[in-house]
Amino acid sequence: MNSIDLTKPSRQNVAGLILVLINSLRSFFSRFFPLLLIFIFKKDFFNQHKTLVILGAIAIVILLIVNAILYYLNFWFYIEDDQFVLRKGYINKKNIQIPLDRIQSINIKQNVVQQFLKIVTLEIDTAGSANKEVKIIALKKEQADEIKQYLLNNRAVSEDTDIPQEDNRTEHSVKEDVITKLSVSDLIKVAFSSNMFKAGLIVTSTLYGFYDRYKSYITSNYQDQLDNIEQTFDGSDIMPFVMVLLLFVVVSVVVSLISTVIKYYDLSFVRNSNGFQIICGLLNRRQIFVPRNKIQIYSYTINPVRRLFDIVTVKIKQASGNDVKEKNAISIPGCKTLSNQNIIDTIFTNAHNQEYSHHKVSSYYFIRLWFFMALLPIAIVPWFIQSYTLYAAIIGFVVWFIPVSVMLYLASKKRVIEISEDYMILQSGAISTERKIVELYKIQSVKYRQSVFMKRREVASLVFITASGNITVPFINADVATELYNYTLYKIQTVNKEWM
Amino acid sequence: MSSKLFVNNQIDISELPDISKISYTKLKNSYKTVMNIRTVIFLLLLCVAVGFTLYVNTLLTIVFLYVAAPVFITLLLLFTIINSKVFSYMGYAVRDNDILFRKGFIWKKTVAVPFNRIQHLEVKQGILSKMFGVSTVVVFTAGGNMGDLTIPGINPDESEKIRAFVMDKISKNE
Repeated sequence: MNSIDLTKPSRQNVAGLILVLINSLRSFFSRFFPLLLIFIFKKDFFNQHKTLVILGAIAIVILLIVNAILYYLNFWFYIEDDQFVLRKGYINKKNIQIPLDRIQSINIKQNVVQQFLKIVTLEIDTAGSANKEVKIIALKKEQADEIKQYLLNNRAVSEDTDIPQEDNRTEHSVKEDVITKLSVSDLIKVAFSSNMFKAGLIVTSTLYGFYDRYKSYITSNYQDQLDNIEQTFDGSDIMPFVMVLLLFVVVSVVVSLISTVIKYYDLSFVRNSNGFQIICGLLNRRQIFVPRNKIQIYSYTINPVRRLFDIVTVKIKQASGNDVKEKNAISIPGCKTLSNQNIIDTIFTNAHNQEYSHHKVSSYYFIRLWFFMALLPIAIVPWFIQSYTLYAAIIGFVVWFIPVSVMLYLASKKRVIEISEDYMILQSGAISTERKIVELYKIQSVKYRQSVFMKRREVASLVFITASGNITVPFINADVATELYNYTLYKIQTVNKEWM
Repeated sequence: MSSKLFVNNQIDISELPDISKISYTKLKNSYKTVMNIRTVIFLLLLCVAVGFTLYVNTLLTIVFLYVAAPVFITLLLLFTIINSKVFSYMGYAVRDNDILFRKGFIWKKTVAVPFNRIQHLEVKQGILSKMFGVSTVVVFTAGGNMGDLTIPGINPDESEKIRAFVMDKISKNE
């Protein structure tokens, strides 16, 4: 059975039974992990209540199996009156209905277990945050593709109206057009140019948290080894510090490499007639589709190391419910500079031939930030820890005051807003440079902010709220802010295109 | 204008509807009372909380009783003044194509939502608001919490009118 008749209620693939069972077993084990530890370490307890424990285990497994079967039997999906309907649950029954034209994006995913069972997950996202539960976890790949195609086709009428086709390819060429593919060597470049120390910090803090949690267990069982380690380092002051630093660097590099490869393995970024699609991942294959008119914010980041490799990080954010914004964003870490330009030209067809005016952010904004973030901390913190010695002052000055001041200075040089007839580009960053492109008419609402202090200096801030996050333009000339506010509202009201 | 928005403008920006020239409709006066009552409730709760934590220490309780009343009255006066300042700046405006609301005291802000970006509209009324004959209009957009617009202190009839006007505009747009 490959073809699905969506007008009649259908169930998931039978393999879903096994998946649900495995999932529930896994969550059971992770939840009762400490309890199992007791069984393993306290052999006496286990021997005393042998029958009880075995009976309990059998009962739990049977319950989980029954749960999986009931879940499978009560899960139905179909299409009725232009609505995608999903019925599930046996105790708490749920009936979810989504009008087809409200569907934001359709994602197909596959994790390790699903790879073995040869099934995929189909996720349907809507604009509202209420219906995020639409997830069919066991479908054959072909069925998922078929449903996706069906759902996409049924909205195609409203989708393709405003999009000018500006492809200079021949008529009968392949519909799909691969923009970027990342090989393993590309991924290594990406890993080395990413913020590795962030990854290192996360791992170190996680390990420390883990150690803290199981401290009593570790110290009671491995006290001898710990003592040994302590003795090894005893006597030399600088050695442990260097060792820890070295370890930190190695861990950072390794973690960054592994996480990059796992997340972006075999990435391919494809353009087709309706939009863009990304497929990537080693253990969990992720596939995200973004229709071209759903794109709200396009951003790309350049950092000095990546500039050497001639690559940028691209992020495409699409309209989606409150909780799924980040998840539904396409992120391409190693996009060639040329491909990036190519994508921009496809999405914003007339962006490159418009004239942009540049507006700098007022220096007052950075002076204020500098006062609160650089000056105030080194003036106040020593009072609290009551050690206003010269030594502490110098350390505070070198470790905090100078770096923060330099970063803020760089950021103030970089923060620029560019306005053209149809677009707004916000540039920010200190060492790296991020540029966000927004089409003015896609904005949902506008906020004008001005404190009494800002009024005195004739500056104002604007917040542009879009369906995939806010864009803040801080402290620009008040007259320019008012004009931009008026003009954005005018654009939203007069451009007769669907914002999604 | 000290600097221009565009290098090369096709349309005359000075001809566009200007937000700095809007006359905002003030909220209903009884809403100021609602604000003040809320302040009193807040201060009373604060007193109870502080009093309860000091209850264990008898000496502190006595000090608290002597200090609490003056502090309470001073804070109440201060907040009443702030409330009246906040109230006098608060206002809304319904234009041909959008709805605006402004508020703030030291940090002032003006939010505008164009009609063709409104997802839905709600008129609501709490217990306190009901007692003083005011209602709240909430405008929802697809931009999440930050993009929503909440106008408190409107006469229920007026709220209904706004709702009808906006709904009419939205349906015409589609």
